[in-house]
Amino acid sequence: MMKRSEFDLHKELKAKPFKHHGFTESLRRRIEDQLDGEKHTDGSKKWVPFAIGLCIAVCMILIVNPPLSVHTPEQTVRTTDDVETSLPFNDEEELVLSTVPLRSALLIGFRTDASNNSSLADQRNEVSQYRTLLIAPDQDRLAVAAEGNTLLVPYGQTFWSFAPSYHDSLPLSLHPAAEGERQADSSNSAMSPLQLEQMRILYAGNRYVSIEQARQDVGQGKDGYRTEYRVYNYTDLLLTDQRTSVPHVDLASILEPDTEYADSQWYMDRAAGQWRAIVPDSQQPSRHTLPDGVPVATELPQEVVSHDQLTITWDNIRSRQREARDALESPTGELLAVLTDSRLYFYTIHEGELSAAPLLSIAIDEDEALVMAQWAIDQYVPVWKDQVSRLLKDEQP
Amino acid sequence: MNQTSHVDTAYTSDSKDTLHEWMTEYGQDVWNFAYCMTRKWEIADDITQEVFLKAYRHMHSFRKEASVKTWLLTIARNTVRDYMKSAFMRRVTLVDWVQNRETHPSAEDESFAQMAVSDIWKQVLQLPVKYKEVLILFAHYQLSMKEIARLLGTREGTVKSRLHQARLKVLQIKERDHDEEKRI
Repeated sequence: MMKRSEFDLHKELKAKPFKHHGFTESLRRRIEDQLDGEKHTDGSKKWVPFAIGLCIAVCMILIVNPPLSVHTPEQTVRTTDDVETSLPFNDEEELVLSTVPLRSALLIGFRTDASNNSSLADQRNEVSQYRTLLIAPDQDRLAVAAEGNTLLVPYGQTFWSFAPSYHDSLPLSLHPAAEGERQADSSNSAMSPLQLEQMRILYAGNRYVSIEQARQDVGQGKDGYRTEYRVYNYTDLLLTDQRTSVPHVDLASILEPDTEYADSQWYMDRAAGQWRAIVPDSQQPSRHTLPDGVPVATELPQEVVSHDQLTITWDNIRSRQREARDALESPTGELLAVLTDSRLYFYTIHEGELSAAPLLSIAIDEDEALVMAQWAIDQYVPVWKDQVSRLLKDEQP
Repeated sequence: MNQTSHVDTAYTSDSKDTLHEWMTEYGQDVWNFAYCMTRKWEIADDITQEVFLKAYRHMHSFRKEASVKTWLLTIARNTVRDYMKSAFMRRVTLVDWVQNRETHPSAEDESFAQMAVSDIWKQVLQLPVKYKEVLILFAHYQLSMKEIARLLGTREGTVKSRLHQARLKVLQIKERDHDEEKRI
């Protein structure tokens, strides 16, 4: 029951708050002029006056009060948190709740390469590390449902992982993750497995894997290695009879009828929220740098990249995370993952608007590269949660 | 992906007409909300502009699950929050914080006080943002608890609790003002 004082308060607040009209005719014209201006631009310049003002203000502050030391990533996060808590909004409550029904789960995989300080030869002998996380809804929250140091990929009705190959004809083997390590054709143990350290997975989807493989070849490359970039179909990896080489996927065949790239080496790389095909044109300078190449203008077909669409603009994404370097949107359109150099954030999308604060934030190392992102929706979410949790149960890093 | 596609596809005379209607119908509501939250005329103008530009760009994705007014207020609240988060705004706020503790009110505060139509509005506008926004959305914009919870990205229980706190704080400010008047 509303008290008399509350009733009066609400009644009085129903009335207009201000004597003057703030939404003037000139403001309306300004908005319409801005719209007309956007017609001829990409719409990204609306923050320019504000950004210039901000830059001037920041420069003035830095001149008057220079920073004392360089922050480590952890300190930066803490500093950001400190700023957040000084805001007049209550962020703590908003960080973990969703007001829209969550229908999607994201299986995401990262690769970390050998230390950047190592020499090229040392880098050749160090194995890249992989990490898989399953981010799934738990009622109105998002949570890390499973995490492990294996790269898991969904294929068909189950999950698979990669292992060293014992055959020259096979670049790497694919086996059901539930079988653990016993897949690796141990009956043929007299043969040496191809060195995993000479291979990096650049992309793993639900049908295709893109790899970089260093093959010893005296006279080739800076250190006697020749680096190859190939994409393989999972079916071909599984059906190989070990007598013939596994066929790699010809870029021209998936970009049909484009024959410009027939027989070209290629790899898959991520830029601005999209997987793209790159045709390399030089040897890589180090294990941390992919070679320069020609990005193929045509979008990769869905059968290769699965769901890979963003409807949220980068302006909108950067209004939440200024340092966003990548973003992934769920196929059902209610969830957006935003990757910065240090964290992975999840926001809900409602009516085209991102939630004011993230539902979840996960620490990411700066040198972790995104190599896999697969979504499960609706009835598949609990199935993935159950299966991936069991598969990664003993894999907690 | 294609950052310009929304803008390109949305530029039709129909959507411009719709935006025009929205500005006529809700322009003052959006501006008032922005001004209530920021107490800065120019920033309220900037936020209002940003809200309508965003609404225009995302018009195609507005699925009418909420009313236009609620949708615009949601965008306004998020835009206000972005401004608050910016270093520029924090700096301006810091200046205000210092000024508010000076003996004489700043020119901005005086004009702000003159802007409000009634004492009760002056008292409400002094509330911290998290209480002020809930009270204004409920009492002035007549949004339901559920709508406010969705708009703020929080639970209905939290909205209820903040609303209760907001009313108590207004009463405290009212009493304080009353006492000060008596002393004078």
